Amino acid sequence: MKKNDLIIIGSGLLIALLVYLIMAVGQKSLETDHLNVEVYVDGELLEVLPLDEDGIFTYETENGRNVLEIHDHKASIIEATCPDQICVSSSDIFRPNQNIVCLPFRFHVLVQGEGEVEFDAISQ
Amino acid sequence: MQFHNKLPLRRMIILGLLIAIALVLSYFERFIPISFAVPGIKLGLANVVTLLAINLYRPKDVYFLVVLRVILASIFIGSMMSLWYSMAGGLLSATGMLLMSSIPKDKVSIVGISVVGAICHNIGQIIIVSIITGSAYVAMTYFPILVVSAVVAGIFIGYVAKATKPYLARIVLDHIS
Repeated sequence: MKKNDLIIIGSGLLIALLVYLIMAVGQKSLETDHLNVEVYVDGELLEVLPLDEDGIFTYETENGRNVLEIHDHKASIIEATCPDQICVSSSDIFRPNQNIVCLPFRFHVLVQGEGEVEFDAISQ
Repeated sequence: MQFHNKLPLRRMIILGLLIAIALVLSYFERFIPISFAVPGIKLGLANVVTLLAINLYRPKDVYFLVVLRVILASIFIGSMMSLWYSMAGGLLSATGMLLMSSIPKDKVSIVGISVVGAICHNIGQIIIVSIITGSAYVAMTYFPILVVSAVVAGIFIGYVAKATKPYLARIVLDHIS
């Protein structure tokens, strides 16, 4: 490994840390007591579900099926008909801006606080 | 290495072999359980082949190798839907590594090239995530962990390529000339 290799590695890690800190600060500033789970298909908002009501929701799209479970103030994908099963093995989400993405089915769920300032300018 | 002076057929055969090796590597990679932090993280073993090809082939041939490998891998292993995010990662990674390899060898080693390739690969995937979810914010939440894992995997893959390089060079250049 050469000196420049270490510079590449170091600057990569530094940028990652910076982005992480910016994200963490953004998350902290969102203080809401009521959280919702937003369900998106193809980047469009399909449904908003309160995170404090347990339930199992099935989404059949033309791409495939995703089953979302809300339990104990946490949301997770418990079943998907995709081959990679990445969304199923993703960890539970319960804080604002945490999300689970199912790329093959263009499906994602996102935790958002109620009535907060729209954080995401680019998606709109 | 003066490999492009050789007969086109010979170059093509070695390129075909490299694609076959890359396919086998991406197949067996699935059995290495390293997706601990973020599900779906891969080591990127097939990148060893791209790194080696960069030393032997012109950029055009390297892109040919990457595109063919991604298409064939998604036919054999993944789905047609995984094609697009593998393609974005593969092309961006090849571009990054080709640019890096134009820097003189005494400045940057193959490990540095590999790390840049791995980071570019994951940035390509982040771009696809932001297109599919329609939200750059959602995609950016994956940025820190993807870059850190790219650095770790990139160092490993770089050393694997470094260790493999002399053997491949011997086979390719000796048997052909």
